[in-house]
Amino acid sequence: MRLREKKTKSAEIPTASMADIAFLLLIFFMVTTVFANEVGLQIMLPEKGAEVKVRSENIQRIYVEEKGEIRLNGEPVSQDQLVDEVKKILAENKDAIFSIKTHPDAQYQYMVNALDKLRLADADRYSLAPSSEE
Amino acid sequence: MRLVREKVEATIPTASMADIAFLLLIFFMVTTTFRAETGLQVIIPMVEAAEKMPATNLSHVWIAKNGMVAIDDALISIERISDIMARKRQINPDIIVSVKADKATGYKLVEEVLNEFVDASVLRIHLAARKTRG
Repeated sequence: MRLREKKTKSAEIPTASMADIAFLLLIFFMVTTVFANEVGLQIMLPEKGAEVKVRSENIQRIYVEEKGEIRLNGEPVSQDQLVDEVKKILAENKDAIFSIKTHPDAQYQYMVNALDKLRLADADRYSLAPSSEE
Repeated sequence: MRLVREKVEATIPTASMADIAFLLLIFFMVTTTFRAETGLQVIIPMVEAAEKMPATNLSHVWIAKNGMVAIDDALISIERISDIMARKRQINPDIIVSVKADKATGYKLVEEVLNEFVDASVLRIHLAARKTRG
């Protein structure tokens, strides 16, 4: 018995749409990717034991109270006022140094708020005073 | 005079398009690095004058409002922070610490942690915050 000759069928995978699929995946991942863009406030801590002598007339004291009220040199100020006051002080004395002292039981947010206002007023000389010191 | 235009068929070779797209896809897949640390559950404070956080030389420290402190995913006690940070500074002298503290944390705790950084001579600190809109 003779077998019939086999017909050769050409098998092909359609690749015309492959590029579309790949680009679709590429664009999907590009769009859904979220970059971690973290922001915040940069501070520089003082070196241990290094005492910096500051002329007392340059020191401006900011006190952050337990409930978040801010006092500048003893005077209670609102957060928006603080920016203006700090700008005013800097216009008079560009060597002014702001010392932020926070009540130990105050929330961290309040201290950050005060620091934020100094930044908004372009004050670049400030320090965080220890909260325990009288 | 009559011109006879020859018709030239223009085709763009698209056979390698899929290869190019997949190459790009795989390149981005391989070069993407995921941040491994998850840290503690914190709500970071809101600020207006936020600066972009540097992407390199970072070490993350979390402070939760219940007093837990974690460095790069490991819960640790406060007294050990200075040892760990001092070791990190030996490995990388340009280290910047990103402090992610909950906004309701008591300032006393934040101050204790910052003092530990001073003890370890790690002085460049970044207080993570979210930028308020508007």
